[in-house]
Parts: sequence; C-alpha cells; structure tokens
Amino acid sequence: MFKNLFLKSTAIFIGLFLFIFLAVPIVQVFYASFLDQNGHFTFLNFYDFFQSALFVESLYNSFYVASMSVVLASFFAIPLAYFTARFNFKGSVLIQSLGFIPLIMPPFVGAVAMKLLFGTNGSINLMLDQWFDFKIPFMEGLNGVIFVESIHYFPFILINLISSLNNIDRTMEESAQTLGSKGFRLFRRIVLPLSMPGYIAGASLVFLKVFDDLGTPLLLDVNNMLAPQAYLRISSIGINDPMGYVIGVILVLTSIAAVWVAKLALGGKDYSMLQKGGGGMVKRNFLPHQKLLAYLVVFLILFLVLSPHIALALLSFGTIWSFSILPDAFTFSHYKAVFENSVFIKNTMLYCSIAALIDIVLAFFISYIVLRTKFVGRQLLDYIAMSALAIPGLVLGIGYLRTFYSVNLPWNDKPLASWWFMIVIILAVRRLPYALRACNAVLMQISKYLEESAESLGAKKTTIFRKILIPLMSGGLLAGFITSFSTATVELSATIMLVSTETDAPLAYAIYSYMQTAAGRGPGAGFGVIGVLIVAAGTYLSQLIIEKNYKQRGMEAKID
Amino acid sequence: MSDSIIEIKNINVSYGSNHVLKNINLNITNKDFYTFLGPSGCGKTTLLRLIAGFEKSQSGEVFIGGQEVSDLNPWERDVGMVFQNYALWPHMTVYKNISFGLEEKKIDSKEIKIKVAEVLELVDLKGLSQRYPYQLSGGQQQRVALARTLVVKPKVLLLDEPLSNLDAKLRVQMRKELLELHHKLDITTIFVTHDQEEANAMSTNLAIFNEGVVQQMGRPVDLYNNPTNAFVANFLGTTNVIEGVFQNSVFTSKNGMVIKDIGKDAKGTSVLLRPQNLYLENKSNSLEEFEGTVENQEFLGNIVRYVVNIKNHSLVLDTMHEVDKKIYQPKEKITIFLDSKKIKFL
Repeated sequence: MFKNLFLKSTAIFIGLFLFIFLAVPIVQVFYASFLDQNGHFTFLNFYDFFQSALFVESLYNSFYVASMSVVLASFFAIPLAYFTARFNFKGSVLIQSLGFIPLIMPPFVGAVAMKLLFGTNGSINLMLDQWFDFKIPFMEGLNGVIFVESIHYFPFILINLISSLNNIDRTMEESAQTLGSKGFRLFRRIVLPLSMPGYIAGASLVFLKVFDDLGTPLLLDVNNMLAPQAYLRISSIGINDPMGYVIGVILVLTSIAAVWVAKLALGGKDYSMLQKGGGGMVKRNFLPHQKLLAYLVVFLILFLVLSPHIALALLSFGTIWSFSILPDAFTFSHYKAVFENSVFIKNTMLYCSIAALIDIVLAFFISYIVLRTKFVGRQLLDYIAMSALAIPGLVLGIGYLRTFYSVNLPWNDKPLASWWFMIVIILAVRRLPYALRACNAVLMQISKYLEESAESLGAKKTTIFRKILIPLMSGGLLAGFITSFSTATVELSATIMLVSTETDAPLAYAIYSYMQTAAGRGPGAGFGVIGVLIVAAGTYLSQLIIEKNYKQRGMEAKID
Repeated sequence: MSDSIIEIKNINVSYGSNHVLKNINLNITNKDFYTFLGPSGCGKTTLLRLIAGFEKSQSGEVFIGGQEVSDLNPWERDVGMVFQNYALWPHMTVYKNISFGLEEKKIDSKEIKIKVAEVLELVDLKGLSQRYPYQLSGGQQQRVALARTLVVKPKVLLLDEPLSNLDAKLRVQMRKELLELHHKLDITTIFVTHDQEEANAMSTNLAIFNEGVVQQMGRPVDLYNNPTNAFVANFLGTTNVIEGVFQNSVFTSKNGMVIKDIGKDAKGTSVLLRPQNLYLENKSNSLEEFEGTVENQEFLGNIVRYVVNIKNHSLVLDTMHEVDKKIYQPKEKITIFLDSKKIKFL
C-alpha cells in the first residue's frame, strides 16, 4: 500500500535524521571521554578530572550555583504563586504576565547590563553607598551568576506552582477542616504536599537550565564552573583534548539525574486525576496591611524582573556608563553600528526560519506517526526527539564538532562542522521538542473520526493531510513554528561551538562577542534589544494564534 | 419533646443579589436519616455547607446538639462531611486518609491503628489500607470517604450527593449499604440528592427545596400522598394537575371536564391525579367514567403508560401489563375510570 510506504519511509528518514544529528554526537562525546591519546579505552580521563583542583572546584561551583539559583528563584516564585492561588488579588494578572517577561530573554543577554545596574560600582550600589554607606555584593563572582539566573528562570517555578495550586480542589481543604484540621497544620499536611509536583517540576527545570548555562558565567567572567571549563578547553586546547568530553558527560549525566530525582520525588503520582473539580482553593481577601505588603513584594519582584531589560535598553542607548547611576548621555550610534553589521541579523533570520521549518515538518510527521499509526518503535521516535530537551546545548555542540569535523564537504574540502548549515541543523534539533509539543497538542484535539470519515469517502492519505489535517492543525503548526523560530534566535550554547567565521555568525553570537569588550557593549546591547524584541513578538504572536484557535475550536464543538 | 439534634432557624443566605436560601426553618431529630431533595441550584447543598461551616448566613441561627454554631469554624463543629467527589487526598494512602482526623485529635497511634482497622472492617475494605486513592474503584473511594468521616464519630453525618458519581447498579447497592451503616451506627445523617427515588427509598424524613425555599417536609409517604403544592406533587413522581373550580362537591376544569362526588370539603384551584389512580377497568362499579383518545403509548414492560386526551387535557395513565391485555394504539378511543374519593386537591 502506497500510504503506508510513504509514511514508513518518512518514519525511517526522521529516525535516521535524529540518529545522525542527535544520538551519534552524544554517543561520540561519551566515547571520546573514555579514549586516551592513542585511541585506547581508559578511565584515566575521569581520574584526571577529579585530580584537578580547578575541575573539582568547577564541579562544586556548578552544583552550588544551580542549587542556590533554585533557592533564590523559590524566594521569588513562592510568594507570588501563593498570592495568586489563595487570595482575591487584583495583582494576579500582573503576576501571571510578569512570569513570562524574563523567559523572553535568555540570561546571558542581560548579564553585562546587570553588572552596570547591580555591580560593585553599579547604579544600585552607588545609591546605597551614597545614602546608607554600604554596598551589597549582588554581582560578586558566583553571586552574580546566581542572581542573574534566578531572575530569569524563577518563572519556571512560578508557572508550574500556580498550575499545581489551581489544581487543588477546594474540597481537599474542606474535608480536612471537618476532620478538625486548621491553620498552618492544614497547610503543611494538605496544601504543601499537593503543590509539590508543580514545585519540583519547576525547580528541577531551573536547576538544569542553570547547570548547563554557558553564556552567563562567561560574560560575567566566572570561568570556574563546568560549562565554561568545557568551552574553554575545547576552544583553546582543541577538539582532541579529552577534558571537554569528560565535562560533557558529567553535564549530561547531571541533567538525567536531575530529571530522575524529580521523577522519584513525585513518585509517579498524578494528583490532578483524582481532584475532579479542580476549581482551585477557596480564595480569601487580604487584610489591608497584608494587601500593602503583597503589593510591595510584587513591585519589588517586578523591578527585579524588569531590571535586565531596563539595563539592556539603557546600555544600548547610553554613551558612557561607568561609575554613575545612569549613562552620561544618550545616543543612537550603537544602533547605527548594529545596522552596519546587520549580517548577524540576516544570518539569524535565515538560520532560524530554516530550522523552524525543519522542526515543524518533522514534528508534524512525528506526532502523526506516534498518535495515528501503529508502527513498531513509534514511541521511541517521540522519546528521542523530546530528549533533546535534556541534552545541554554545549554538549550537543561539542558532539557536532567531534562527529563532523573529520568529515569534509565535497565541494571545498572544508570540515562539515564549520559549514553554516550545521548551525541550522543544531538549532533545529535543539528546538524540535517545542514544535513537537505544539503538534501533539493540536493533533490530540482532532478527532480521529474526521480522518476516518474522509477515508470512508474515498480520500487517500495525502488528500487527508492536505485537506483535513493541515488546515485543522494550521494554527498549532504556526504557533510551533514561531516558538521554535523565536527561541532559536537567542540560542547561544550550541551555536557558539560551531561558528567558524564572523560572517557566518548569528545574532546570539554577536551579542556574546560584542559584550566582551567595553567598547562593544553598546552595540552588543543593541543586538540584545533586537533579539528580545524578536522573541517577545514571537511569543505574543504564537499566544494570539493559540487563543484564536481555541475560540474557533469552541465554535466547532458547539456545532457537533 | 425536643429531641432535635439540628435546628435551623430563619436562615437567609444571599450572594450579592442572588437570594439562595430564603428563611429556612428545619428541625432534624436525633438518629434521623434526613434528606434535602430538590433540583440543582435549589439551595440544598448550600444549606448542607452552612451546617458544615463552609458558608455564612446573613441572618438566622444553626444549632447542633443545642449549641449555636454560626460563629464556629468547620473544625470546631464536630460534623462529618462526605463530598460529592469524595475529596480523598491523593498523596495519602487509604490508611493515612482515614487516620488523618484521629491524628488531628491527638489520639495515640496504637488506638488509631485499632480504630482504623475497625472502620475498614465496617466499610468492607480490609486489606486495602496501603493503596493510594487512584488505585481504587469509584465504589471503593466512596467507602474510604465514608470511613474517613465515620472514624472520628461525628455528631452528624453530612452526605453531599454521594451516589451521583457511581454507575446505576453500584448506586443501588451503595444505597443499601449506606442505610445499613446508618442503622448500625445510629448516626444522624443528612443526605443531599436530586434523585427522588433515592430520597424516597432512604429517608425517614425529607425536605423538598425549590428556589431557595423549603416547599414541604415530612415522611416520604406523606409527601407523596399529600403534596401541598404542584411542585412537590410533580417532583415526587408524575402527577396530572388539572386546574379548575370546585362547587358543591363537583369539580369543573377550565376545558369543561367534570368530576362529580368529590367531597364537600374539597376546595382550591386544581385536582391532582396520580397516573396509577386512573384505570382502564371499572373494578368496583363505583368509579366515574370518561371517554378519551389515546395520544401516545409507551410499553415499559411491567406497566404500560398512556397519555390520554380528555377534553383537551393530556392525562398520564399507568396500567399494569398482563399477557393477554389489549394495548391501545394512538388515536384509538379509550374509556378510563377514576375514584373521585381518592382525588387530592390543591
């Protein structure tokens, strides 16, 4: 049968693609970490790693920074989530939207700007010093990484915790009350354990993101952490140095361990299934002084959340900003520099749109194959594609170098790994899970009967794709495309390994390299602002499309 | 004699302009199985939640065991409530769910063990104590919810539509088990439902609610026999209500249907005729006779239900089905009989 042959070969093609561009590079990293200089198997590299004071310190620092970021992010997220879920609070809308703002900018983009705002001689400390005669070392060494990361990633905890709290049915508390429970004891025994799944999911995500982040510590000049060490080893000593691979293995294993520990802590229980009402907890009113306090907390966090954005904007328009609360004067000259070097923006547009296109095509077929066919191993396809989420971008980048550097392009004899298209592919692989999630979500909502009725009227598979599925899924496909596209524009950790010449470099790389010199900060910030605008517009657009889609779907539901 | 365990006096509840309970007065006798019956949105659940302490009234008083409880929190009231969705805590085992209330009362763990074992035996769940709620069937979850409430020996047991999430067969069985438990434990029970069959089968007393008002209360059979308004008459089974006037023992409907010999004290605006009190045979030769046309016929197995048109009144008539009995078809002429002595009027 033709239709099955077509789908089967597509499945095999996708499988091959994921094998070559996701599985092989990772396996290569693992393999290389066990090889000595002569290519023989050895455990010596790991032994060496733990013998080196610098590496052990880096390992410790990475754990420390990731854990402390979870702690600090929890301080931001928990009160906000609790206000929203427990109280009748007008600020809830503010909190919900506040949750998305930091996510549109990856932490490395605002890192340098944050130094100017919160550093030893930054605006805040200058004011503190002037008025109160003391300074707070927000940005000193590891503190800076923790501070910047937790401001950017606390929404992961916030969003998950709010959804967990909103899933708690009011009867969960009421039944405890009729049995004599009240106050903090009731909170500890019922509300707290029921909100744990959301908290743990969010916290583990924060831990992972921080542990794997490369750009932020590099830009803050913190090199004694794992990700920067891996990057520095590979970029300075070369791709034959085993230590980069050893660190890569440790990064991957930590990622997997974090996910596994989170799963273990949850015990595989789905609490939401049993709480059929799910209308959220009984909401209370704030007492007047509580309300004041709540608004104070919200505005303080709002200020923190917006500070990287404000600082970045100031930096991009400021002339000289050093030892002063605000820049000396304002100028457009940085943006002029940005547009004179618009090749970075062009590259990004080109790379990310191709990558997102690849993603959406692959995601469409993967979700169709997983949800609608009975092919052997179809689940595996889904798992492998989704597993890209757990692989640090840096490790994937190292894997690409290792795997594709020795393969030469047929037309100019240059290594495959230095070809610009490899950046496109690595972006596609990294962002495939986003597109896949969007596709799965829409396809699950489309009744199988719609296809079956078309089939019974004599339509072939290709006609069904063209006339039924793709039109119905168009909203979701577009939303997935935009999400993949916009988040790829600011992806640094994977691409940084593969940029071989400036002319091939994308926007994120430009931000990174400009930000490293004092003179380049202005234009770097300008590139950053443009990147943030692209992601913000993309996020807004995809949200809009998803909402519109829901509305249409609501109408369709009424018809049948 | 005041044997009331729950007294509700002049209760009014409003949410904004929505008056949910209007001047409710009720007495519930100790050891009673008392049902709040009514369609959804009638206020019955609100009253139950008021007794439990989850709602506040704008005016009125609630007494539990002689004590005014309006200012008491739910945890100070000593009432046990079983929720419609059971509200089992998903993060606790069956054992933990049941021991929760005992732990809150600071009872020592040895005694808790004994009490939990007892109550598990009572609800027939022995051996499932280490399961989590999601590993139980709907009926089992229901029993855990009951056990969790009963183990603390509350003064009153409040049941909020506890059978509505079960399938039909299980519902009938749980109905029986609930009653057995009620008798065994002698615990005052308030049961909220919208299902009149459930209410009739289980309650010693019931109160029928509509639009925030208690329409009528009393024993189920009394309410069925002597409804005081058309809503009650219709809510407890099907009733034909015919409007008209009474004069000199004669009832004349608006369309001119005349019933004689209706009794001198008959007065009001309408007569109530239960479908089973209309007959196809003149059994005692003392019945009144009416000519009509069959509008509709439903064969339900043990009975046949006809809708018969008499003077443009559509009357529902139920007749026991027997093997050789004629079944009338729509548009056929039909003669029906009724006993004017048994007619209820409003």
